[in-house]
Amino acid sequence: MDKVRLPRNKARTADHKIRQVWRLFATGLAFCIFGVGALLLALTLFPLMMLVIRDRTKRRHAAQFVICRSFRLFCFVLNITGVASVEFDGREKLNQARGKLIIANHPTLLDVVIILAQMDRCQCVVKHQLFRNPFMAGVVRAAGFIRNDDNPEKLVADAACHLRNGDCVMIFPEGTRTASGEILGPLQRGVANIAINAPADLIPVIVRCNHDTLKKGTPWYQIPPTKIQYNVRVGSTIPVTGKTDPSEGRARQARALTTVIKNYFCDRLSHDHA
Amino acid sequence: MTTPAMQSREDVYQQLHDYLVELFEVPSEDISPDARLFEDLDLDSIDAVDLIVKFQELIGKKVPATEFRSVRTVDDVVEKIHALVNA
Repeated sequence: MDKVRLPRNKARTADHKIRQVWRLFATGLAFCIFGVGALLLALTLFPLMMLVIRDRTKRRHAAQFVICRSFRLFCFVLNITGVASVEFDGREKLNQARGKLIIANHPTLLDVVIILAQMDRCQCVVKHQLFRNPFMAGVVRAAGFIRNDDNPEKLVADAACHLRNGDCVMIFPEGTRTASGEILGPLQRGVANIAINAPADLIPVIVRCNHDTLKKGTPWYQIPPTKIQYNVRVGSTIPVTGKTDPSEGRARQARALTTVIKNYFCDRLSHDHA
Repeated sequence: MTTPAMQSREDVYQQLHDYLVELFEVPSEDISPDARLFEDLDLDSIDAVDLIVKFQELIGKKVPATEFRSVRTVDDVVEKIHALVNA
C-alpha cells in the first residue's frame, strides 16, 4: 500500500509546487497588468475623451464606466489565471441604486476593484496618495473621484452633492484596510456625516476573503497556498431616516449612525457566511 | 441662558468641557487638560470644525482655522480661545 501511495503523493506535491509557482507568477503579472492598464487608459482613452466629451459630468461618468468595465475584465483575468475568484451576491441591488452611499468593509487590496466591477459607474472616495501615484493619478483624476485628505467639510459637501445628483458614492467606513487578525477596524464618522448631510440611504456590502493575503502589510509575493476566494454580499439598504434624532446636533447624529453601521457589519461578519 | 464672560482660563476650560460632553458625547471623566482631542476623546476633523464654530458664536470673534491646526490637547484649545478672548 505504502509503495503505491508514495509516488502519488510525490506527484501531488510536485503538482502543488507548479501551481504555487504559477500563481506567484500570475499574481505578479496581474499587478503589472493593473498598473500598465491604468497608465495606458490615462495616456490614451481618457485624454481622447477630453476632446470628444465637452461636458465635464458626462466625461466623468464615461471615465467611471471605463473603469468599471476594466475592473470587470481584470477580475476575469484573475479568475482564469487561478489567482482569485469572486462569488458575488446582490449585483442587481447595486445596479438599481441611485443616489445611495455604498459602504463596505475593507479586508483586502482588491475590494474596490471587485465591487466596481459589478457596476456601470460609481463615484468613489479614494485615498489622496493615489492622486500622486504615477500609475493611478490619471485614472482617479479622469473619473473625478473625491480625495479623502481635503478639507473634511468639502469632502462631505462634495460627496453629498454627487448623491443628490443621483450618483452612487462608494466609500470604506474604516478609511483604510482592516488590520490583519481583526474583523472590522475602527470606523471613521465621515460616512455617517455624508449620509446625514445628503441625506442618502446606505447600501452595505460585506466582503469576505478566504486568505489573509492582500491585507494591510502583506507583500504581494506572499501568496496563499490556494486560489483566493472572495465572497461578497450586498445587504439590504439601511435607511438614514429613523436611525437618528434630527433634533440632536450633527455630531451626535453622526455618532449614532456610525454605531448602527458598526453593529451591522460586526453582526454580519461575525456570523460566518450567514 | 446668559453668555459666560470667559475671562479666566477656568471659564474657558469649563465651557470647553460642557461642549465636549453636550456636542460630542465625551464622558466627563475622560476630560482633562492633557487629554488629546483626537486620540483620547475620539473627536475627528469635522468635530473640530464644529467646535470652532461654537466658540465663534460664543465669543463673537472669528477663530482662524489655521490657529487650530497645531491644537492637540484640551489645554491647547483653552490656551488659544483664552488668548483670543483677551486679545
